[in-house]
Amino acid sequence: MTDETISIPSSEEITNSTEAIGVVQETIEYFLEAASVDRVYGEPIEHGDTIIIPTAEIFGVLGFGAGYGSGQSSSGDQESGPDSGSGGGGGGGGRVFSRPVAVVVSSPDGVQVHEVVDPTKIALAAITASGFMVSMLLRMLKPKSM
Amino acid sequence: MINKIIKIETHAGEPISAGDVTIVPMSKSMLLMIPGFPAGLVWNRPVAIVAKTLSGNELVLPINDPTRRAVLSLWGAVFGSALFTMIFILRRRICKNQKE
Repeated sequence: MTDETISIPSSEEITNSTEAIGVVQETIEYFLEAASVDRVYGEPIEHGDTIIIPTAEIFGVLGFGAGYGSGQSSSGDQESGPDSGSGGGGGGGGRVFSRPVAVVVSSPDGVQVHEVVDPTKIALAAITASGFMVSMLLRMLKPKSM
Repeated sequence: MINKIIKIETHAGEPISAGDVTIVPMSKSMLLMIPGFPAGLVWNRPVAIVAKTLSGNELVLPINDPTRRAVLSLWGAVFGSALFTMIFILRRRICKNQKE
């Protein structure tokens, strides 16, 4: 049977946790604003009779965690310091990626959508994919192990 | 349950006036949240624009993403070849065992 002691957090600890919650809330708000659906279409750019609207794909990931714990000294020796303690912590992280997808051009000739091709991304994916495929081919061609 | 994990919505943005044409941007958002797990994923992308003329004509122009299509095709090819290799190696092993 285990004996668990629940300690009541002090006012300082409560202030610290409130501050931490505030930081987390601020971070989430910032993240949601950065990854908002309104960011998909950029501000229209006017150039004479032509209006250009840039469009982008937005991808965001966010994760966070927090913990709190308390403990009691098993020795019960008063001289060595306080016999109970508590602590807490938290952290999080996130990232927002964005990539241009197309450009909408509205001119007296009509409305057109010009797709944006990212050759670097395709080349990197092709190199990685071919690396995988070559390694698999080599595995297939490898003589049977005895 | 699945609605709590994945939320897919189509949004219509603020109409943009461009001469005689009004452009309504359409986008799709996907929100992935795993219950009990403090993490989330957001994916927003443009899907189409609706161009409306003063005469009432409506034109829907889809926004395709050739980069994403190319990358997904490449990963599809990798997945396919991995599956093929797995089947090939498995068959070879079965044949070897049968001979023994």
